[in-house]
Amino acid sequence: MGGFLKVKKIGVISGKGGVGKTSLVASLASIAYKDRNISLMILDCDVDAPNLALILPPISDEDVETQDTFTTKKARFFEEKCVNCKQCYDDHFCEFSALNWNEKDNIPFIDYLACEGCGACRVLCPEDAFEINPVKSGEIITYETKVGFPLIYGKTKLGSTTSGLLVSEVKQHAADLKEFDTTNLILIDGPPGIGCPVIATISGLDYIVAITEPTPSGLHDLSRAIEMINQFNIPFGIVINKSDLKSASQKELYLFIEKANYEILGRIKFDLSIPEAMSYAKPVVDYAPESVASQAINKIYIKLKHILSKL
Amino acid sequence: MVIIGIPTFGNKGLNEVINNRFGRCNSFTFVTIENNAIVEVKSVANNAQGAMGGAGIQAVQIIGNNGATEVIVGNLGPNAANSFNALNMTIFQSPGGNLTVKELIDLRLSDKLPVLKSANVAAHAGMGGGGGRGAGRGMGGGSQGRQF
Amino acid sequence: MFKLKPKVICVTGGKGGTGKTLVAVNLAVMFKNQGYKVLLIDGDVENPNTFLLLNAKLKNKTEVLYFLPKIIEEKCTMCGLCAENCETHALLHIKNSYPIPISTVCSGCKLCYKICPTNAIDPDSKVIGWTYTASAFNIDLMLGELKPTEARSAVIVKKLMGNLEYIIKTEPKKYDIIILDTAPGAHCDVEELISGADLVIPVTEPTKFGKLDLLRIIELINLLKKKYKVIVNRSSLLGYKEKFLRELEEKGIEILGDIPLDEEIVSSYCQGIPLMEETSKFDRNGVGYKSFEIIFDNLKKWGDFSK
Repeated sequence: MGGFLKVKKIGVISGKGGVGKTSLVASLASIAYKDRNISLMILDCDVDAPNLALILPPISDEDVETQDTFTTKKARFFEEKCVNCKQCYDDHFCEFSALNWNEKDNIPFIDYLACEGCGACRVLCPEDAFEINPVKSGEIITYETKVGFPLIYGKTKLGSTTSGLLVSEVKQHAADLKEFDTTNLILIDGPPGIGCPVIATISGLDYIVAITEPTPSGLHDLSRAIEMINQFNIPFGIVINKSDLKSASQKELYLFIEKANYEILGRIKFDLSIPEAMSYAKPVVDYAPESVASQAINKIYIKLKHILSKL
Repeated sequence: MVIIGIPTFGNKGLNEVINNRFGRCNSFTFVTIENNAIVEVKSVANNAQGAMGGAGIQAVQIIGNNGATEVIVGNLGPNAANSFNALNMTIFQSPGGNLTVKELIDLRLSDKLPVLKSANVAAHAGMGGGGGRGAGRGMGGGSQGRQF
Repeated sequence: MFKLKPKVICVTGGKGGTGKTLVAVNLAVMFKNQGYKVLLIDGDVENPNTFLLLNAKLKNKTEVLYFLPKIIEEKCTMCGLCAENCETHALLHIKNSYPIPISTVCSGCKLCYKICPTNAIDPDSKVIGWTYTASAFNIDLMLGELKPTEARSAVIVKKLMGNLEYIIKTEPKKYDIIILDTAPGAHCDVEELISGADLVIPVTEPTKFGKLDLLRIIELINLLKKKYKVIVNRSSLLGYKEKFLRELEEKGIEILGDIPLDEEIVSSYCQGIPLMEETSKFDRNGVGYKSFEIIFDNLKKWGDFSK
């Protein structure tokens, strides 16, 4: 493995939705790709609403590989085995309100969407009338982007309760690709929030970029995201998007960051080039390389690279 | 007397090479040490290998049920790590590469292996319980397997 | 005379940052202005923000507990039945020792508690979040908050919906309108809120990203067999409004209205005073203000909101 940089994995999260994760990941990817020392792979782990593929489309549609995942389990009821004892309903076998009673036919029925596949009904039914089976939980899509690096993303099947599992599947899928051996930088577009799929995204990463904006909810959500990140002991830095927004929260945000001595990776001033670039489905650093936003993002990239080299 | 468990590929005992993927390895090799010397070597199949989920926890159970109080591992996910810690078992970190069971035991006996306190790789199963690999994914075999 | 149940409106969107909370808060305020009794439920439990837009003080902090098995050693025979049957392997069992619960993979199904032959499992619990109530501008607020580091936001949402069910059952006249604000995405916590609604209002923005996520949330809404009409926020962004509205129309998606960019909206957001609040000083002739009025009119024509 000689002089290879060990693969570094960076996740971009925010807590609050819509503050610019996807846009930043696309631009950092573009810059990293042009960097001679970097061999890149990109993941979109916002599996409930993936949209990085819009800005980083495939070279060709034939090239796109889709794999179904089966990480969700659901219960299935077999009427022929049922003796109508109603024990499952009366004794509250199901903790997730997925087992209901069909009065007309005197049998239980399963609320598919509510069912979590926990297996309790299977074990408790004296007649073995329930089975637990894996069902399709989503898809993992892999392709080479027009720009030139592999992109892998996951998309949940609606109604699936296992977003976190799908995120882990996406990461494992990336690790199984032959390109992984020669990759030295993985950038991950994370989901909004701080729950199950975000935790699955940041688990095992080397560095987190937390994006925020100077608004009341931007600050509030950032502090919650940091609380979550700190539990995992992963180093992180903050990017402030729309940094010059006139808001009472400006001061509060800076005080918050200063007091805890958090690292600021960079500030991106409000720049219409960003939504414009998004509307053309292009990373802003490609669409408007001289713009205020692009310059700020380039600086962020340099700082990030420097931090990673010391990790 | 102490029994040390190591995730491996087959049943070649001391000549087995460590399998870096803990929960999904083919077998476990157990080495009994008494007075700083090897007195017994045993191979046990990992029947949790193909599990849909919780393979790490099941693997820890196999290790525990074979009387081991120490393990030497390559990669270890959070479920398995938490389980070992809950059982007060000591986890030693293999320095990496394709070391044999014999080589690793020698390192352990000369106190050259660092202790691992928590997971060193991401979870397979993520959060929310169970689950894991999709159907039809190749597992086991001779590959070292990479972890994210 | 029978009183109809309160009308439940769910504001959602798929894409983050489209303005769900902004819309939810202002719809709540507009109903209140017309004398309706309103309850606003903040179902974005990972990052609740409604109270920020309303400058509301949170009260009645109540813990939300999640099941965790606890082994009662005096009663445990170490038979291992619990560990054997646990679908997620959340009980670690080495022979001749007590099973050990692994809380991170426990699904909360309570099967172990139910099948233990010697009743040796105590339904212990851990705190995974909280619910709160608040009041501002004559609107009642109910919020949920997931404890950072915990993963199961749907549990907190279920608690909120359970509280709502209780209120409707025991005090059916307390509220006329319930407004639910969801998190972004199409995760199970969002699904839980949409399933409890009479009407759903997805909020989008006129971009490819907004459209992609909108179509996804509409797929979920259709799966749950609910009625919906869309609001396009930031409609004046980049001048794509007409094209965007046409694209939605072509797909048979009905619009409740659109809200253009307006400095007053940003201002109201940062001040913590809703734009449509009757006592506020915002410009009644502002483009944002007027667009909300049109939306509210359309909303009242769409649903039956007799008091």
